[in-house]
Amino acid sequence: MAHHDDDLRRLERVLIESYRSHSDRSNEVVDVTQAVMRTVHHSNGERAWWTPFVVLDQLVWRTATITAAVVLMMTMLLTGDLFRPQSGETQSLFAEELESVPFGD
Amino acid sequence: MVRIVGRRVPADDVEEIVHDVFVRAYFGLAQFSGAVSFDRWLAGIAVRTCYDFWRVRKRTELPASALTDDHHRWIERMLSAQSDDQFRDQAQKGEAGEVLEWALRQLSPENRAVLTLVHLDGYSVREAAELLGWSLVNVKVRAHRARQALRRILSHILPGST
Repeated sequence: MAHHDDDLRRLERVLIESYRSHSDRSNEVVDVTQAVMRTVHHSNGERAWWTPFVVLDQLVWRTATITAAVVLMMTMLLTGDLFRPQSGETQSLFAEELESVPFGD
Repeated sequence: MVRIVGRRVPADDVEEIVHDVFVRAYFGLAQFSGAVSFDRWLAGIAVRTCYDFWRVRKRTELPASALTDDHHRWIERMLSAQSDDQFRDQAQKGEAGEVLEWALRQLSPENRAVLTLVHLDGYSVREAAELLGWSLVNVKVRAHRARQALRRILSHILPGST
Protein backbone atom coordinates (compact mmCIF):
# COMPACT_ATOMS: atom_id res chain seq x y z
CA MET A 1 0.00 0.00 0.00
CA ALA A 2 2.83 2.37 0.94
CA HIS A 3 4.59 1.38 -2.28
CA HIS A 4 1.43 2.12 -4.26
CA ASP A 5 1.10 5.56 -2.60
CA ASP A 6 4.72 6.30 -3.40
CA ASP A 7 4.16 5.38 -7.07
CA LEU A 8 1.05 7.54 -7.14
CA ARG A 9 2.98 10.51 -5.74
CA ARG A 10 5.70 10.02 -8.35
CA LEU A 11 3.15 9.84 -11.15
CA GLU A 12 1.44 13.01 -9.91
CA ARG A 13 4.78 14.79 -9.66
CA VAL A 14 5.90 13.84 -13.15
CA LEU A 15 2.57 14.94 -14.61
CA ILE A 16 2.77 18.32 -12.87
CA GLU A 17 6.36 18.74 -14.08
CA SER A 18 5.31 17.81 -17.60
CA TYR A 19 2.46 20.33 -17.48
CA ARG A 20 4.72 23.13 -16.31
CA SER A 21 7.49 22.42 -18.79
CA HIS A 22 4.95 22.25 -21.61
CA SER A 23 3.42 25.54 -20.43
CA ASP A 24 6.79 27.26 -20.66
CA ARG A 25 7.04 26.23 -24.29
CA SER A 26 3.51 27.28 -25.22
CA ASN A 27 4.30 30.90 -25.95
CA GLU A 28 3.49 30.71 -29.60
CA VAL A 29 2.16 33.82 -31.28
CA VAL A 30 -1.52 33.76 -32.08
CA ASP A 31 -2.72 36.70 -34.11
CA VAL A 32 -6.46 37.02 -33.83
CA THR A 33 -6.57 40.80 -34.25
CA GLN A 34 -8.33 40.75 -37.62
CA ALA A 35 -10.87 38.14 -36.52
CA VAL A 36 -11.65 39.99 -33.28
CA MET A 37 -12.07 43.30 -35.13
CA ARG A 38 -14.40 41.65 -37.63
CA THR A 39 -16.54 40.05 -34.89
CA VAL A 40 -16.73 43.29 -32.89
CA HIS A 41 -17.62 45.29 -36.01
CA HIS A 42 -20.25 42.74 -37.02
CA SER A 43 -21.75 42.61 -33.51
CA ASN A 44 -21.82 46.39 -33.24
CA GLY A 45 -23.59 46.55 -36.60
CA GLU A 46 -26.20 44.09 -35.37
CA ARG A 47 -26.64 46.02 -32.15
CA ALA A 48 -27.00 49.34 -33.97
CA TRP A 49 -29.64 47.83 -36.22
CA TRP A 50 -31.55 46.35 -33.30
CA THR A 51 -31.40 49.30 -30.89
CA PRO A 52 -34.18 51.50 -32.46
CA PHE A 53 -36.50 48.49 -32.61
CA VAL A 54 -35.88 47.60 -29.00
CA VAL A 55 -36.51 51.19 -27.87
CA LEU A 56 -39.67 51.42 -30.02
CA ASP A 57 -40.90 48.11 -28.68
CA GLN A 58 -40.42 49.22 -25.08
CA LEU A 59 -42.09 52.58 -25.81
CA VAL A 60 -45.15 50.93 -27.34
CA TRP A 61 -45.56 48.48 -24.47
CA ARG A 62 -45.15 51.12 -21.77
CA THR A 63 -47.57 53.50 -23.47
CA ALA A 64 -50.09 50.68 -23.92
CA THR A 65 -49.82 49.66 -20.25
CA ILE A 66 -50.25 53.22 -18.95
CA THR A 67 -53.17 53.87 -21.32
CA ALA A 68 -54.90 50.65 -20.24
CA ALA A 69 -54.49 51.59 -16.58
CA VAL A 70 -55.92 55.09 -17.15
CA VAL A 71 -58.88 53.72 -19.17
CA LEU A 72 -59.60 51.16 -16.44
CA MET A 73 -59.59 53.84 -13.73
CA MET A 74 -61.83 56.16 -15.78
CA THR A 75 -64.26 53.31 -16.47
CA MET A 76 -64.43 52.43 -12.78
CA LEU A 77 -65.07 56.06 -11.83
CA LEU A 78 -67.80 56.51 -14.45
CA THR A 79 -69.43 53.19 -13.57
CA GLY A 80 -69.46 54.14 -9.90
CA ASP A 81 -71.10 57.48 -10.73
CA LEU A 82 -73.82 55.95 -12.89
CA PHE A 83 -74.89 53.28 -10.43
CA ARG A 84 -74.54 55.27 -7.24
CA PRO A 85 -78.14 55.80 -5.95
CA GLN A 86 -79.34 59.34 -5.19
CA SER A 87 -79.97 60.11 -1.46
CA GLY A 88 -83.43 58.97 -0.18
CA GLU A 89 -84.07 57.10 -3.36
CA THR A 90 -82.93 53.73 -2.06
CA GLN A 91 -85.41 53.40 0.80
CA SER A 92 -88.49 54.37 -1.25
CA LEU A 93 -87.53 52.04 -4.07
CA PHE A 94 -87.03 49.21 -1.58
CA ALA A 95 -90.44 49.85 0.02
CA GLU A 96 -92.13 49.89 -3.37
CA GLU A 97 -90.45 46.63 -4.20
CA LEU A 98 -91.73 45.00 -1.00
CA GLU A 99 -95.27 46.26 -1.52
CA SER A 100 -95.42 44.93 -5.04
CA VAL A 101 -94.61 41.36 -3.93
CA PRO A 102 -97.86 39.40 -3.68
CA PHE A 103 -98.44 37.39 -0.47
CA GLY A 104 -100.48 34.30 -0.07
CA ASP A 105 -100.59 33.35 -3.75
CA MET B 1 -3.24 35.25 -22.66
CA VAL B 2 -2.19 32.60 -25.18
CA ARG B 3 -0.24 30.91 -22.40
CA ILE B 4 -3.32 30.66 -20.16
CA VAL B 5 -5.53 29.39 -22.97
CA GLY B 6 -2.81 27.15 -24.43
CA ARG B 7 -2.52 25.31 -21.12
CA ARG B 8 -6.22 24.61 -20.93
CA VAL B 9 -7.58 23.71 -24.34
CA PRO B 10 -6.33 21.51 -27.20
CA ALA B 11 -3.84 23.23 -29.54
CA ASP B 12 -6.34 23.24 -32.41
CA ASP B 13 -8.83 25.26 -30.39
CA VAL B 14 -6.43 27.87 -28.92
CA GLU B 15 -6.93 30.46 -31.66
CA GLU B 16 -10.71 30.27 -31.49
CA ILE B 17 -10.76 30.53 -27.69
CA VAL B 18 -8.32 33.48 -27.66
CA HIS B 19 -10.60 35.19 -30.16
CA ASP B 20 -13.61 34.58 -27.88
CA VAL B 21 -11.70 35.93 -24.88
CA PHE B 22 -10.91 39.22 -26.63
CA VAL B 23 -14.47 39.61 -27.90
CA ARG B 24 -15.84 38.95 -24.39
CA ALA B 25 -13.34 41.44 -22.96
CA TYR B 26 -14.35 44.09 -25.50
CA PHE B 27 -18.05 43.78 -24.70
CA GLY B 28 -17.36 43.48 -20.96
CA LEU B 29 -15.15 46.56 -20.71
CA ALA B 30 -17.97 48.49 -19.05
CA GLN B 31 -17.83 46.03 -16.15
CA PHE B 32 -14.11 46.56 -15.58
CA SER B 33 -14.04 48.51 -12.33
CA GLY B 34 -10.30 48.72 -11.79
CA ALA B 35 -10.54 46.83 -8.48
CA VAL B 36 -8.06 44.33 -9.93
CA SER B 37 -5.36 44.90 -12.53
CA PHE B 38 -6.37 44.74 -16.19
CA ASP B 39 -4.14 41.68 -16.69
CA ARG B 40 -5.87 39.83 -13.86
CA TRP B 41 -9.31 40.84 -15.16
CA LEU B 42 -8.42 39.55 -18.63
CA ALA B 43 -6.95 36.35 -17.14
CA GLY B 44 -10.27 35.77 -15.35
CA ILE B 45 -12.15 36.04 -18.65
CA ALA B 46 -9.68 33.62 -20.24
CA VAL B 47 -10.06 31.07 -17.43
CA ARG B 48 -13.86 31.27 -17.53
CA THR B 49 -13.94 31.00 -21.34
CA CYS B 50 -11.83 27.83 -21.16
CA TYR B 51 -14.13 26.48 -18.44
CA ASP B 52 -17.13 27.14 -20.72
CA PHE B 53 -15.30 25.39 -23.55
CA TRP B 54 -15.02 22.20 -21.48
CA ARG B 55 -18.61 22.45 -20.26
CA VAL B 56 -19.83 22.46 -23.87
CA ARG B 57 -17.27 19.83 -24.90
CA LYS B 58 -18.25 17.52 -22.03
CA ARG B 59 -21.85 17.52 -23.22
CA THR B 60 -21.10 16.92 -26.88
CA GLU B 61 -17.92 14.89 -27.10
CA LEU B 62 -17.48 11.14 -26.80
CA PRO B 63 -15.54 9.91 -23.76
CA ALA B 64 -11.76 9.98 -24.02
CA SER B 65 -10.24 6.82 -25.45
CA ALA B 66 -8.29 4.44 -23.24
CA LEU B 67 -4.54 4.65 -22.82
CA THR B 68 -2.34 2.61 -25.15
CA ASP B 69 0.49 0.17 -24.36
CA ASP B 70 2.97 3.00 -25.04
CA HIS B 71 1.49 4.98 -22.14
CA HIS B 72 1.66 2.00 -19.79
CA ARG B 73 5.28 1.35 -20.79
CA TRP B 74 6.07 5.03 -20.15
CA ILE B 75 4.55 4.78 -16.63
CA GLU B 76 6.74 1.77 -15.89
CA ARG B 77 9.86 3.54 -17.21
CA MET B 78 9.02 6.64 -15.16
CA LEU B 79 8.54 4.62 -11.97
CA SER B 80 11.82 2.80 -12.46
CA ALA B 81 13.78 6.04 -13.06
CA GLN B 82 16.70 6.02 -10.62
CA SER B 83 18.01 9.56 -10.83
CA ASP B 84 16.37 12.99 -10.95
CA ASP B 85 17.67 13.50 -14.47
CA GLN B 86 16.00 10.30 -15.66
CA PHE B 87 12.81 11.34 -13.92
CA ARG B 88 12.90 14.77 -15.57
CA ASP B 89 13.55 13.17 -18.95
CA GLN B 90 10.38 11.15 -18.56
CA ALA B 91 8.44 14.33 -17.76
CA GLN B 92 9.52 15.75 -21.12
CA LYS B 93 8.10 12.82 -23.06
CA GLY B 94 4.93 13.25 -25.07
CA GLU B 95 3.30 10.41 -23.18
CA ALA B 96 3.37 12.45 -19.97
CA GLY B 97 1.21 15.17 -21.49
CA GLU B 98 -1.10 12.60 -23.03
CA VAL B 99 -1.61 10.74 -19.76
CA LEU B 100 -2.33 14.04 -17.98
CA GLU B 101 -4.80 15.08 -20.67
CA TRP B 102 -6.46 11.65 -20.49
CA ALA B 103 -6.81 11.97 -16.70
CA LEU B 104 -8.11 15.56 -16.87
CA ARG B 105 -10.77 14.54 -19.36
CA GLN B 106 -12.21 12.13 -16.82
CA LEU B 107 -12.90 15.05 -14.46
CA SER B 108 -15.95 17.27 -14.47
CA PRO B 109 -15.37 20.72 -16.05
CA GLU B 110 -15.58 22.31 -12.55
CA ASN B 111 -13.01 19.96 -11.07
CA ARG B 112 -10.79 20.34 -14.10
CA ALA B 113 -10.87 24.15 -13.88
CA VAL B 114 -10.03 24.22 -10.17
CA LEU B 115 -7.40 21.47 -10.34
CA THR B 116 -5.64 23.17 -13.25
CA LEU B 117 -5.52 26.50 -11.44
CA VAL B 118 -4.61 25.33 -7.95
CA HIS B 119 -2.57 22.15 -8.38
CA LEU B 120 -1.03 22.56 -11.82
CA ASP B 121 -0.62 26.33 -12.22
CA GLY B 122 0.06 26.82 -8.52
CA TYR B 123 -2.42 29.66 -7.86
CA SER B 124 -3.65 30.09 -4.30
CA VAL B 125 -7.27 29.18 -3.51
CA ARG B 126 -8.10 32.89 -3.17
CA GLU B 127 -6.58 33.73 -6.56
CA ALA B 128 -8.37 30.79 -8.19
CA ALA B 129 -11.67 31.95 -6.68
CA GLU B 130 -11.11 35.46 -8.06
CA LEU B 131 -10.27 34.17 -11.52
CA LEU B 132 -13.25 31.85 -11.70
CA GLY B 133 -15.62 34.26 -9.99
CA TRP B 134 -16.59 31.56 -7.45
CA SER B 135 -16.72 31.67 -3.67
CA LEU B 136 -13.61 30.86 -1.64
CA VAL B 137 -15.31 27.94 0.10
CA ASN B 138 -16.51 26.46 -3.17
CA VAL B 139 -13.00 26.54 -4.66
CA LYS B 140 -11.45 25.14 -1.47
CA VAL B 141 -13.85 22.19 -1.36
CA ARG B 142 -13.56 21.56 -5.09
CA ALA B 143 -9.77 21.72 -5.02
CA HIS B 144 -9.71 18.97 -2.41
CA ARG B 145 -12.30 16.82 -4.19
CA ALA B 146 -10.65 17.32 -7.59
CA ARG B 147 -7.29 16.20 -6.19
CA GLN B 148 -8.91 13.10 -4.69
CA ALA B 149 -10.67 12.36 -7.98
CA LEU B 150 -7.43 12.71 -9.93
CA ARG B 151 -5.60 10.41 -7.52
CA ARG B 152 -8.36 7.82 -7.89
CA ILE B 153 -8.12 7.98 -11.68
CA LEU B 154 -4.32 7.72 -11.67
CA SER B 155 -4.27 4.88 -9.16
CA HIS B 156 -6.14 2.69 -11.69
CA ILE B 157 -3.40 3.00 -14.29
CA LEU B 158 -0.49 2.18 -11.99
CA PRO B 159 1.11 -1.23 -12.56
CA GLY B 160 -0.40 -3.87 -10.29
CA SER B 161 -3.74 -2.11 -9.86
CA THR B 162 -6.80 -4.07 -10.87
